[in-house]
Amino acid sequence: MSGYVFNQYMLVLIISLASFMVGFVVYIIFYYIFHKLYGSKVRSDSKLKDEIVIHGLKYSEEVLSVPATRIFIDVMKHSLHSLHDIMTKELGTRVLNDWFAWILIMLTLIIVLAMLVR
Amino acid sequence: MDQGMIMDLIIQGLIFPGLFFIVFLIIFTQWIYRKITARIQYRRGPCYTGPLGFLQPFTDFIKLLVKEDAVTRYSVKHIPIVLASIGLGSLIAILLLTPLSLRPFYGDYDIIILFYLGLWGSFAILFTGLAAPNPYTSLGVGRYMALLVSSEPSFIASFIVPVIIASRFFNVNYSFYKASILSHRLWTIDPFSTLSMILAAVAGFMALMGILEIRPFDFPEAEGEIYWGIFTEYGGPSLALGFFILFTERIVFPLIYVMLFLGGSWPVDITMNYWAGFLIIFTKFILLFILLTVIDNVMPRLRPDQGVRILWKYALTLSVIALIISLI
Repeated sequence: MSGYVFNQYMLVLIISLASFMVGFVVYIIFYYIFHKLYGSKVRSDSKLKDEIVIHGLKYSEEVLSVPATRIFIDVMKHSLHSLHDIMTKELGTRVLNDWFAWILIMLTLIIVLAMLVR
Repeated sequence: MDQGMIMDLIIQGLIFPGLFFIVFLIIFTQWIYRKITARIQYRRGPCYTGPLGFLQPFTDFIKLLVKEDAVTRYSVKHIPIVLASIGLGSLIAILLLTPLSLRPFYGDYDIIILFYLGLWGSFAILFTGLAAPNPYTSLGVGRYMALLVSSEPSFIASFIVPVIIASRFFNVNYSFYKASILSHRLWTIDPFSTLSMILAAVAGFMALMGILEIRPFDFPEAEGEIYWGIFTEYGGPSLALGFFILFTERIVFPLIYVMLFLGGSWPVDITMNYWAGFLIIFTKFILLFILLTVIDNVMPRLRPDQGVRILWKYALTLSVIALIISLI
């Protein structure tokens, strides 16, 4: 009795090829052919296959969607809130924070005015 | 690659010892499984279809295949079928590396290819479960993952022991094919090899039970708790292919166990007399399958944590000790 001796790489290639070949034949014979020849003919349409029944009641599927503006506002609100927390905890008193905030607003105004005047 | 080799690859992959042979073996082993289970439960088992009900598993398989392939709206539809086919192909291709093949394909370090191909079947089952959104399916997948993570290390550590011993004493260069032909001689080389073979055989048997979901390690498909685990959502051809993988695993892995730990074709040399050697391997495999079936029927089921703990504590420890001894 003889066999085929290969190096590691060639053996991996050949055995992988064989496994894909057998897998393809399994798919064709045991799924595709049976499904095409017979399985597709026994299909029975039933509402139960399309509807989802939960606790005896029909479940209507809602498509949930949120406007992008709502997401943006929500994100900003949460992030600014946490920013406020960080400033109050990290940067000392509330008065100081208010001062920082007012200075920031003032600087922004100056920059905007400067841009408008130019 | 010459034409003769390609023909051998096709014929052996698709007919013997490939696909056709595996289908026949599945029918035969499942008939044995059902008959033994029925006897243990004081029933008669299959007895109408074919002589002594021999064709009942085949009829059930065909019945599933010709059903409508109904899947839930949120399931992945085609990829599980494709992956199941590839998993089956990989499991069947393992037999080309064994002495069961008339013209085997082998080389140095082919044991690594064997382990690699063996994992594909398990991955296909896992993906089949993950493709269907169902709480019981997810539970089944989680449990199956835990079982695989616990049993695969001990499976690999114990099944590589005979190959290591054969490589050290007979210079087979980690070839599963060559080691399986010499496996009967590995038990009696010296006291260390005997001890490591005994430990590896025990650990390998436990790991084998884990991978094949034999009780007490069948918690991934615990019917009473999580319906059917991974296969809860499946019916028709998808379920048939899932069963095809499970039953093929129950043939291929015990065959590897027979070839590495139970002497293979001993007392006959399969390279000299193929059919006598084949019959001996087949007989040993059937005896091992009957043992696994009896264990599957008489053992209680462990909880997932208990099963995992036993596999880590005993199977892995024994296999690592066997591995260390084999290297001494």
